[in-house]
Amino acid sequence: MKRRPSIALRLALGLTAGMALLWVGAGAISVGVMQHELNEAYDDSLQQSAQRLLPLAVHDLRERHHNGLLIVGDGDDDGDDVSDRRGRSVPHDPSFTYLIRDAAGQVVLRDLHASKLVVPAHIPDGFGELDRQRTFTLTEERNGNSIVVVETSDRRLTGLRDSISALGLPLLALLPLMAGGIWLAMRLALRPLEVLRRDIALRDSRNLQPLSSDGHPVELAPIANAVGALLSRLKSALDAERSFAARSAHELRTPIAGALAQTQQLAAELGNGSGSTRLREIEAALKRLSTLSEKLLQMARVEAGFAKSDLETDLLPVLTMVIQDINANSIWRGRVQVETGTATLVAPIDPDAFAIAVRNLVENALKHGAQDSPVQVLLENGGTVRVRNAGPLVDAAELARLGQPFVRGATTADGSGLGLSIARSILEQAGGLLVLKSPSPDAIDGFEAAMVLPKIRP
Amino acid sequence: MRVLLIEDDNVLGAAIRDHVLSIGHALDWMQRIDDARLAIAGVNYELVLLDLNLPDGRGLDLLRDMRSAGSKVPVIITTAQDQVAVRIEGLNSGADDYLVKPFDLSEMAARIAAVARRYGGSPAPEITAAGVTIDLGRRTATVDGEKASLTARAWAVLERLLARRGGIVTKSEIEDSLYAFGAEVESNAVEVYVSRLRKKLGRDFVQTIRGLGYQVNA
Repeated sequence: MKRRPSIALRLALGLTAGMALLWVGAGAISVGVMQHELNEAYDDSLQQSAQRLLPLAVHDLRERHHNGLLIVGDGDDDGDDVSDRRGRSVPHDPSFTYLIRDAAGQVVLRDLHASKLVVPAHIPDGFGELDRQRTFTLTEERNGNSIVVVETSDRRLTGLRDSISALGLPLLALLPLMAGGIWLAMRLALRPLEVLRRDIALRDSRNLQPLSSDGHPVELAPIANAVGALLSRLKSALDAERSFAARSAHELRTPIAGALAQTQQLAAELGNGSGSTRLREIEAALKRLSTLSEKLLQMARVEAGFAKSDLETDLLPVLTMVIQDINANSIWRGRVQVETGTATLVAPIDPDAFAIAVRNLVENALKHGAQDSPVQVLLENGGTVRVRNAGPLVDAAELARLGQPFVRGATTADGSGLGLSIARSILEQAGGLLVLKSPSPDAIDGFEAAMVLPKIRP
Repeated sequence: MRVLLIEDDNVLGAAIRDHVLSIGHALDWMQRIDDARLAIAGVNYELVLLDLNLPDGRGLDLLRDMRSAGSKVPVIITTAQDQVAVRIEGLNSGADDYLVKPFDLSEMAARIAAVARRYGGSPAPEITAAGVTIDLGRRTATVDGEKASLTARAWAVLERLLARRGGIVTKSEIEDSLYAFGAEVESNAVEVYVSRLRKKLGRDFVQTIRGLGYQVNA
């Protein structure tokens, strides 16, 4: 299954990437500025070194009356023409080297480390570059001596690298922390969304009450209000549908009852006279119409979601009343036997829906079972009602099809093919189960429909 | 038996009326609760067929009022409402039976007979009295193993007498069972039907208690 994108994760990644880019940009600007300042500082240092060294070196040369090249420094002498090693009064800084020329352009003094340098004879005063090394040249106007100071260290590069490290390393360390922090903050910020989701998830066809969560953030309030309005409209529509189905059942029964009663009375008055056969056919058609409309309206009520209930109801009186009612009918008189024992029957199901389911199952057993055998209704502890009848065996394939709308078993008895389907829909909607078996338990034939009622919620 | 039908639907009411009359009972038909109240106040009905939704009120209110006033008249509710709550409310209000529309007229007649038998003190449909076996459910009478054929009116008189078996039933009570409002009461009708019963079921089956009425011995 494809994983759904997470808003929190997306925002965390996006914000982290944005923050990192900003940081890198700011760091680059800082490094640029820092490099510029460092260059200025090092250039200044180079210039000051030249300005201090030149008079000192010239003075030193004059004091010694030295002719030829004087080499100064603290390292090993690798030159062959070293004439004097006492030039220690000239300060030495390892970060740069230098050489001094007289007015004729001859090198008269050089730093020990300057031997490796190839310095052109005439370099204009000021800053310059020599083999990618920064130089500063200064000429004394009085005697024409000049000094070339060459920066030998990579301190500029080191300084730049240190700056980049100082700005970049914290970013690398902080990036995961920042991403985690943003993700956590997003989760906290999105918590009201989860509360709203749970609240909406609790709504179904039996629970269309307004959302119980409140105090939504400004961003969620319009969504919560829209969902609330939708629930309200849905509730109105479902209420109207339930009411219509219930009222239709009532309104249809009276005219059908009138037509049926008039037909039966006319048939009774005609006796076996002319037209009586046709009249009996009309009566049978009216009865089928009555049964079918009754079942269709029951289906409409079930589809409007009336079976599920949040209230637990004692269904034993309902069961007893339905069975008494069926047994009171002169057609079925005495055929239904009930064994309730000491079992209780309390379940969260609408009592009317339960009555419809029981009536359908018992009438089904009475119509399609063996006509000379009783129908047994057994009540078990734990909320199971079993309706058993003797009769022909129903094979597994037919058993699997039974319970679907308009599917009838191999029977010639009157029926709409909806009774089992309605009973199954009622039970499943309420959270229970209808289990069909053939043969009936402890028998070699027959049929059992077991209503497993929904459990009481703790 | 004198029956009060309270039903506002013309088509159904007419069919019920004709059927109840055809099985020998007298019937008054009211379509409103206030008319029904007047009828109940003036006549000792032996059974009421009561619809619940009427133009001027609920049938259950009438039933409660009847029971509050001490009336023990059997009441069968005939209604299009099959909700469990309404049915329980109806039975708790004092109804004796509950028929959901549409119903067979024969089923209604059987329920009427069953309720009447319960009120007559013998819920079993079969009665043996003075050597005659009578099945009230099937409306058959057997005398010494031979079936006796009775008209609907004769059955109505017989049921009225059997409802108070061993007790005296006055002539006017039998007349009430035979004639509805507005029907012309024939002066010697009761004597005629009693005579027919004696002819079919035996001379001693119905005894005349002079000056009081008639009696069927247990």
